[in-house]
Amino acid sequence: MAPLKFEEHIKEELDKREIAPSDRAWDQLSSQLSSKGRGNMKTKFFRLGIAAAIIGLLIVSMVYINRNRVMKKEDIKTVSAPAPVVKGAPATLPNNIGVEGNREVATTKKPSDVLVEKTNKTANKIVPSIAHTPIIAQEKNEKLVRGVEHRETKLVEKEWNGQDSLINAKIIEVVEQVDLMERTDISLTDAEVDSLLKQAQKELFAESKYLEGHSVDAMALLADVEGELDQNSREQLFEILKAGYIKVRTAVATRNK
Amino acid sequence: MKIISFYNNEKLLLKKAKSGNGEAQKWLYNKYAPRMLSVCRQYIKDLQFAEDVMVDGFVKVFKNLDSFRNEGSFEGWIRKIMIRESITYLRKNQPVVYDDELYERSAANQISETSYLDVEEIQLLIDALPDGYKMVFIMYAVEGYSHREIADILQVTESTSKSQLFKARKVLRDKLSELGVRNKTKGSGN
Repeated sequence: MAPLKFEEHIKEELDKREIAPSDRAWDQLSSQLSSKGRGNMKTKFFRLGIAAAIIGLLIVSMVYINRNRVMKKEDIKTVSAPAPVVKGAPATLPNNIGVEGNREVATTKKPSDVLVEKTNKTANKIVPSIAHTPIIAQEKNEKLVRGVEHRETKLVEKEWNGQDSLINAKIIEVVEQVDLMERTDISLTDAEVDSLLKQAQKELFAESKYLEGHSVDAMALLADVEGELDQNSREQLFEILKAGYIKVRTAVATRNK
Repeated sequence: MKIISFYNNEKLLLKKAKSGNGEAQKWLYNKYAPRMLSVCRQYIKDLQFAEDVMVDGFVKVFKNLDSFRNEGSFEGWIRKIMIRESITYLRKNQPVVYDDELYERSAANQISETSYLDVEEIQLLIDALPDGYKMVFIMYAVEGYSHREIADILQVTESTSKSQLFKARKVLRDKLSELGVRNKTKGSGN
């Protein structure tokens, strides 16, 4: 038999052959298939779980970011800004106002005025809306208000410092009054001098208010309401007057000697 | 009648088996398992191991039904999987040595009459072959693979495949001649 014929015979015989598998073979196969199916289900659930977790994280982060944005918006509310008129700058402002509006504002104002104006602008911009903001925002607002007040108090000093001519005139007035009274042999106690200075302080304050009154300033009105701020300002002015009075008196006394 | 027509439609069954229908899978298994076990048995001497390999092969078949494109016959596709599984099993259990030494025994004894060989005897002849010879011989002579295909599947060179086939044929001829001589002796004794 030639090799090819012999191989054909083998092929035929083997192709015809069928071997019945045992019963356990199907059980084994079906159990393997079901376990694989369970494995697939587990994998599917695992993947779904991961996907759900990622989506959840995204939603939470988006909510968090949005809340932060809303809080920031509520935190800094822009109020219809009133005209940024410098409070208590009577010596320079009226002149500036009378410039017929042709000159640039920056060139007409003193550096101290510009500083005051800037602060007022910030004060105007950042107004806490306490009624509608959450607690955290309220705390922030309170801090802001405190900061603004502190700055305002500092600015009061600068304010009065910028009005030397007026104050000096008042001091001289007081000194002259005292001199006049002393010449007519009326001796004045310290308390009486103080009361004169107080009077001068009141007049100065009234004058400055009057000058301010020419400009319609929402911040000035607000400052009027805030008596506390005025109180500080008055005391400050009184101190300045007293110091000036003592200086002038000492200078006069030294000159007379 | 409806049931018969349902089960005759193999494409429909394959579709159902793909979606994990147990009945369809069992039907396909019952249809092809005996032939596939025969295929596995060609390569693996032990029937139990051959059955285990067949089961693993069917797991792969049902798991990868999506990759069957209905381009060739489903049986041919399963058969390929079974052959590969059997080869993997042989490789896993012991490294296959592709013996390049010439088979020293004489091939002079030619068999003139082999019609008495039944399938069991043929299987015994094949079982006696070394694994390297056996795999190449079955793939080439029984399954109809080319040397290139065999070289690809077994990851050997084409020349190795050819030499393995040559040696396998030689061994088989020797064995057949021995059997023939024995048979003749038996026949003359009777």
